[in-house]
This record gives sequence, C-alpha cells and structure tokens, in this order.
Amino acid sequence: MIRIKELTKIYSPSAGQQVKALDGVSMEVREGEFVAIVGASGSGKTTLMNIIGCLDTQTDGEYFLDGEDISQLSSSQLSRIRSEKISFIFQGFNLIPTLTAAENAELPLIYRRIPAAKRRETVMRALEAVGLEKRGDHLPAELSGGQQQRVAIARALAADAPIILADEPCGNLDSRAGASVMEMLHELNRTGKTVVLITHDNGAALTAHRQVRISDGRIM
Amino acid sequence: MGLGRALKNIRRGKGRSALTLCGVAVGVFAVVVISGIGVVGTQQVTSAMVTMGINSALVEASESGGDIVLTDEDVAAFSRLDGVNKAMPLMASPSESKLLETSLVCYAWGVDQDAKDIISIEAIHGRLINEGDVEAHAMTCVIDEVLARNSYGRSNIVGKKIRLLLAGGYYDFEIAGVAKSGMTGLQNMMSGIIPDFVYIPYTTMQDISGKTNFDKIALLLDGDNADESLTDDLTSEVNQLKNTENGLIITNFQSQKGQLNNILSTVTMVLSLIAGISLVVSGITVMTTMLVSVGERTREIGIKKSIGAENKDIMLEFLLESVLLTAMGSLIGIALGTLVCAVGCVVLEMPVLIPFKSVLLSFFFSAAMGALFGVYPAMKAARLNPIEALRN
Repeated sequence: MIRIKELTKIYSPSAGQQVKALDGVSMEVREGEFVAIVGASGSGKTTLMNIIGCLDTQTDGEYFLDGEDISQLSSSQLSRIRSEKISFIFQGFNLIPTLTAAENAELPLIYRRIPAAKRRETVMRALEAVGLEKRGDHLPAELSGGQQQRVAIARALAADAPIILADEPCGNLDSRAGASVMEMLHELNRTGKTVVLITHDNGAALTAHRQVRISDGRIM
Repeated sequence: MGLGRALKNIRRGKGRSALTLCGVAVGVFAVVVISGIGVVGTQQVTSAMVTMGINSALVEASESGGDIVLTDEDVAAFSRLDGVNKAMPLMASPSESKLLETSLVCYAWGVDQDAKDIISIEAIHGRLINEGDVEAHAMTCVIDEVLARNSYGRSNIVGKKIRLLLAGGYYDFEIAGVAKSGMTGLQNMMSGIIPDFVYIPYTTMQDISGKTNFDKIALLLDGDNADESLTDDLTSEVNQLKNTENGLIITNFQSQKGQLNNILSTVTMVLSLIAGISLVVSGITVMTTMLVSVGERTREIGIKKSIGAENKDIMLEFLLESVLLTAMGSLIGIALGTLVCAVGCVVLEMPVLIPFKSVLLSFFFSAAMGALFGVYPAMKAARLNPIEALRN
C-alpha cells in the first residue's frame, strides 16, 4: 500500500544552509498493518509522516501510494488523495475551534461533496463509535483533551479513509485517556484500516504489529 | 451551506466585520444619495422647462440690435411664418408684490390671452388673462400658487387685492386667477433665486411703463418640428422682416432644455464618480479585513487542507465571505440611501424618485469589488503550505 524507496528530504531554512531531514529512507506498509514509526524528536519522523500523508513532497527518492507515484501529482491531486485515502490524527488534535464536534467530524465529507443527509448520518455513527454522541453540539474548548482527540478520531472514522496517520496521538493526554485513544486505533485497525503511528513512546509503539525505528533521518 | 459557514465566519470577526460593513454601506449610501439628487434635479428642471413651454421660442433683440422695437404688426407678421402656430407679445419686469403684510420679490409678465398655450400656465382657481382684460387694459392679474400660499397660507385667493411694484410705483391689481406653478419644488428650493411669477395684461404693463412696444415676442411653434433648424430658419426670417442683420435672436426652450439636461447629467456623473471612489476605498477595507482574517485562520486553513480541502475550496470559502460582506454592506447603504432620498423628496414636496439604475449599479459594483479585493486574500489563503499553516 505504501512503498518508499531511498527517500531524501532536504530543507533549506535559509540560503546556503541545508538540513537533511530524511536520508535515504526505504520502508513499506502493507494494507491492514499497524506500524509504529519510533524515534526521538528531530529524528525525521514527522517529516516522514508529512510525506506519507501527502502534505509534503520528497527531494529525492520514490514514494508510491497504492501504486501511484506521488511526486508526479499536482497540489489539487494531492488534496484529493488526502481527502480519499488519508486521515490524520495529530498530537494537538487540530480541531477547528469555531466548529462544534459534529461539524468538525463532518468537514472531510463536505470537501468530498457528500450530500447533507448522508453526512449527518455518517457523523452521528462516527460520534457514537467514539462515545461522544451526546457531545455533538459542543465546541472543542468545552471538551477535555481526551474527548477532543476522540472527536479527531470520529473525524477520521467519518472520512472512512483506508490509511490513518497518527502523529503522537497520546502526546497531550494523561495515561488513561491515552490508553483509550490507543485502544480506538487498534479497533480501527481491526476493522481493516491501515494505521501508521508516529511516536517516541516505546510502550505505545510495542502494541503495533511492527516497529520502524528512525534516527537522524535514517531507518535503523 | 457554504453561505451559512461564510456568515458564521463573518460573525466571528464581529467588530471588524461591522466596521467593514459600515465602510461599504457609507460608500454605497453616498453613490445612491448623490445620484438620487441628480435624478430628482433633472426631473425638476425638466418639468420646469415644460411649464415654460417646451414648444415655445422667444424672439428678442440681440445685444447688437438694442434699438429694435417690436410692435403689434410684428406679432401679426411673425404669427404667419411657417412653423409658427401663434405669437404673443411678452413683457417682463422684476417686481415686488404686497399681499397682506407679506412682501415678496416676484417677476411680472405682460401677456395676452394666448399665455395658456405659449408659456403653458394653467389656472387652478379663477381664470387666466383673457382678451377682455387685454383690450380693457384691466388692472387684473394671475399669480403663482406659491405667492398665495406664502401670504394667505392657502391657494384660492381669487378676488383679493395684490399691490405690485412696477416702473417705480405701486399699483393695485385684482387677482383674477391663481396659476399652478410646475416649478413649485424648484422655486421652493431656490426661493429668491427664481422668483415667483405674476401675469398681467401686456397692455396694462405698457400703460404703466409708458412703452408702446414690447420687449419680446413669444412664439408657439408647431409641435412636431420644434427643432434647431426651424429656429435657425425663423431667426433669419424675422431678421429679414425687420430689415436687420442679427438684430433679433430666437431662444428655443427645447434646445435650452437639452443643454441644461446635459450639464445636469454631467454634474451628476462627476459627483457619482467621486462617490464611487469611496466604494473603492471600502473595497480596500474589505481586503484588509480579509487579510487579517486569513492571518488569524492560518492554522484552520492548514487543518482543512490536511483533511482534504483543495486550494479552490479554501479560495471559494474566503471569496464568498468577502462578497457576502460587501453585498450586505451595500444592501444597508442602499436601504439608507433610498430612505434619505425618499424622505428628502417628501420634505421638499417633490415627487419621490428612486435612482433604480444607480441602486442596481452600486450593488453589483460593490459585490464585484468584494470579489476583486477578496481575490488576493483568498489566493493567499489557498496557497498556504499546509505544513507551515499547521505549525502556526
């Protein structure tokens, strides 16, 4: 499903200065897998996730998603791939503060031009799945961190994309809320989603099928 | 749905949106009011010109022909010319009227029984000057409705006495009729500039002034050919009749009306353009507001992009917001502007005229302005790099 070969990413924060965030990374993720990418901060794991998530493109190397060469796509084609194939779960939740929980979960469906009646139904089911069916009208600020992350998971559920990219999803949560979020990710994986977990937390990473360790932009 | 979200976002920036709305509203308000004044003014002048007789022309001595006198024979001769329906002696004199205790500046016209047709006056009470008055050199007069209202507070004062200052002395006249003044509005507005009119038999005016001739001869032209070339032909014919070269000139009200209308519409257009500049200014305000909004919502844009929004989704979202902002502002401006126009017309006792063309034009212009000035901020939003936007 995800096939990366000799991937290199070089940033130029200012003229003449170059930072090699990824240095010849090769990895593969098969459909239905739960893979953890583990590394310390600055190891390049977020850069890798951004590229896998089609938010960024590599400097060199190959990235095929479902057999499609991502480096050849335009920005609107990348948007469509994000919309159809990928859901993000971020450390900072990344909910839109002015929208209610239900509206946040609905957003990906709007960009996929799904009719309103169908959207409402899908969102209701997604909120139920994360146990927030009674909190649909609440703004993110009115919810706890764990609840906010569950809204983000509901958003991913509603979007129904085959790949879930979770970047330190428990980083801002206490251990109990974190455990419940991890459990939900596993549940998603059991229903057939491919999950890529990016974390520095070895404990969380060990619950995955497979761990990929990254350090200084290289796979160990 | 998109509209609802745009409205919500506008409401989010309450104070800022309200100020922007105000800016747009003031711009549109200015355009609507100014063109309203233009439309009403043009209408007033047009109706005033109709009152003065749209098919009339005036023969009088030019500056070079100062010593030419116009007589009864000339009236008869002029009336027989091709294209002339009727001719009437006309005398004019600035005057002052005394009615009750009220003293008003007015303009006295010496006319005959054809005044109704030639200078289009119409009696609303009593009668106009008739043939009997002219033959009897009667001390009767017809006054403007405005004069009656300003002194007695009502229009029907037929039979009352009026004292007129003519040729240095005061003379008492009996009011035989009150004429409707088509220029009521204009005269009200410019009272003192355009005086009210009093009509008396021209023979009476001749007696008082000691003249045996006339100042002017008014012509009623055949309705359908009252144009420039006829005026030119008539001018040479009357000069021939009087054996002068350019001693007489003919003023055609029709062409005067055209000129006046041209001036008025030019003035209106220039003023509207100046008001239009305020629309451009408000467009820039919209742009500033939207730019601030883009800056504030950078992270939100990043989130939306990460969950699949395309550049054009983001672009449309911001464009819709700026167009909606200007459209709402311009609706407020239009509402206030037309209200002020309507109230102004009522207060000045003029027919209520709404400048529909300018209303529509300024609405679409400001909506287009919203789109135009919204494009840059919207593009800026759409082109944000999602990773950098998320890091914000």
